[in-house]
Amino acid sequence: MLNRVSKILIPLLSLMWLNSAAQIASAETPQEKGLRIATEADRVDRGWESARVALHMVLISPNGQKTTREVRMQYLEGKEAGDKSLSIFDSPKDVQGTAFLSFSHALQSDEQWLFLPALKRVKRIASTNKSGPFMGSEFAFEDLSSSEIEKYSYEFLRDETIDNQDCYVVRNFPQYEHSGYSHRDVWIDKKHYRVLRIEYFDRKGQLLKTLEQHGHRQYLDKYWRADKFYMANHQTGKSTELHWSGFEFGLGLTDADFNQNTLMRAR
Amino acid sequence: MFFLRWKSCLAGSLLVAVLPCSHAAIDLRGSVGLEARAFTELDFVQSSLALETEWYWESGDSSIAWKLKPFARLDNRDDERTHADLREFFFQYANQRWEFRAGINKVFWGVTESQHLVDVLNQTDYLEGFDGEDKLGQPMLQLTSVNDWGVIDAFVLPYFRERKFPGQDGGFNYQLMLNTATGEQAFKAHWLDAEYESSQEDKHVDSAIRYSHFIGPIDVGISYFSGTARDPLLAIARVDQQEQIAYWSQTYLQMTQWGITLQATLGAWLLKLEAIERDWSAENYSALSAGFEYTVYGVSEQGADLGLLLEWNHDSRGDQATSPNQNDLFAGMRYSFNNPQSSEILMGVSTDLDNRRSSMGKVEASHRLGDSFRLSIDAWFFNSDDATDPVYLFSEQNFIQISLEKFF
Repeated sequence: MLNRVSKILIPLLSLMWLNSAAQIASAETPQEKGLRIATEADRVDRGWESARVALHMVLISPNGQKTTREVRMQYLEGKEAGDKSLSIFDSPKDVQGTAFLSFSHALQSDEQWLFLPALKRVKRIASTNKSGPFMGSEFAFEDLSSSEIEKYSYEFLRDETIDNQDCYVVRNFPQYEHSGYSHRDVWIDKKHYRVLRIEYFDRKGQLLKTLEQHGHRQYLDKYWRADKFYMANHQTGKSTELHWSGFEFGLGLTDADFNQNTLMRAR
Repeated sequence: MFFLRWKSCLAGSLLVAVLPCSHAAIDLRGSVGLEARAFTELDFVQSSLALETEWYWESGDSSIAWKLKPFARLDNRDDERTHADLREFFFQYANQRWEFRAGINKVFWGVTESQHLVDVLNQTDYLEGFDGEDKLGQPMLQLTSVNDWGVIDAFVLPYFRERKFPGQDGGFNYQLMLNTATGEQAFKAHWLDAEYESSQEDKHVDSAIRYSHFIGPIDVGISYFSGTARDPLLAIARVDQQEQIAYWSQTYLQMTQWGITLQATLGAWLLKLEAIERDWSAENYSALSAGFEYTVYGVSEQGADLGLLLEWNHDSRGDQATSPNQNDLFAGMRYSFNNPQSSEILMGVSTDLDNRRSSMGKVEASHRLGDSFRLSIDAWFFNSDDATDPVYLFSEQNFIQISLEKFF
């Protein structure tokens, strides 16, 4: 699949260098332009290999009541297949030590295992439901998983400026049959290809949630990551903040750091 | 090469353990819980306080670790249930290919929910719960080899731990109703010293090996155990009519047991199988637990999930089985609210297919309070009017339990 995309992509990109952007735009359909933008966003974020980050979550109820969660995560960038991730829950305290291993796939169900420390039991869990809430938050599992190109089909909608940054607005249609969304609209800034905003539409096509990403920082002079995500659910009035900290890249992790044994030892 | 490195690491860790070291912090966590159990037929309430702590230290590169996990419970009615145990106390060396552990630990093998046939390394902590979910720490040496083609775990288990039974004044006291000249009388249980088939008794060195792997949607495990069976054969050795005491004997036989666990994760379906083949000086037998868990997602506006469980349990010994699961069907339901408090309700009923009047069931509900408290309500009922059915022993032990745990 990746190969097929790059077969389309490489001539496209070389065309882009040879001709002016305006000529391309006129030759391209909105679908081709959407795919080109998504492909470029994917390309500029390739090569980080492995990463580690700490996540502080704040769940906010419609009346402003706050609940917090702490999770540490490490990732392995997928070459052929999707990314792998290992998450360790530090709070709430009753689930402290619980760990979660996921091998993500674009079009099939992910492979997921949960380690329950009280029982010392590793459980393979069903993962069809990528639309289920992550730790009771407004983020679904699919909102936090890696964004392989094959996961969506694309349609360029318009250019728009938000927060003084020129953006492409690209509509993404999930290719995964059990996705919780009919589509999502993604604002990507033209300069660095960073995601600034995503609007999620439920399966009936109604606006469900809006995600805003703030405080982007560049790591290793290449990879942009936001410090803060804010997700508002328009249908329930609930919202969730994600505060990311301590990003580390290029840790030299390998597949051997992401298996059931490392899951059981995770601390 | 590996052993060389391991040796130097061990020396390093001992050095660190001896010398105060600023970066080697000990991670401490644990829980303290209050529990009250009301036995509705027996007409008493049993309350208790439990404390579990976990002390963990690892070297900077995580290759060496020590873990200590003591547990204790204080019970207001039952002196036997007031007990303490070292759940874990081990040294660990691990790299990407090998793991070595020495000390007291707990190892779980299994995939099904209604019973754990294959899981035989640790003794059940019967004082904690009769359902076999709680385990005593087991002294062991464990060597693990992690490969592309699967994981091999090899165990040497140098010491055996007896099952401990609750005392006369608490729940699950094995009290018997027996017919005497003066009518039906209650006979209290008195536990005789454990008897062993092996002359080495609890010093018999047991061994086990397990292979586990996953290929796509299939997770598989094959295990072999040779040594002292963790489940004793129970019998009434003699009855003292005058004092109204039944003397129970518990005998531990030597066994070899093959086990297999299989799970296929297909969309919202989990198909599960556990099977064993046991050879020992009692009747050899095979047993099976097979079924599924199916999840219906997003059954409420808030995104709650409903899990449906069905498991069939079979034992080739039929009526002679020591377990109540000789031909039983377990049907259960798990409702997860997926809310910030992680509220969950689990219900299940196990019905004897040979004797429809024998059944047992449970309801477990839990809800987080604040960031670090968890409130749980558990209720169990037992129903049997056949004195030869293992469930019959519990037929007056229906209880409802409320517990509040603080985690730190």
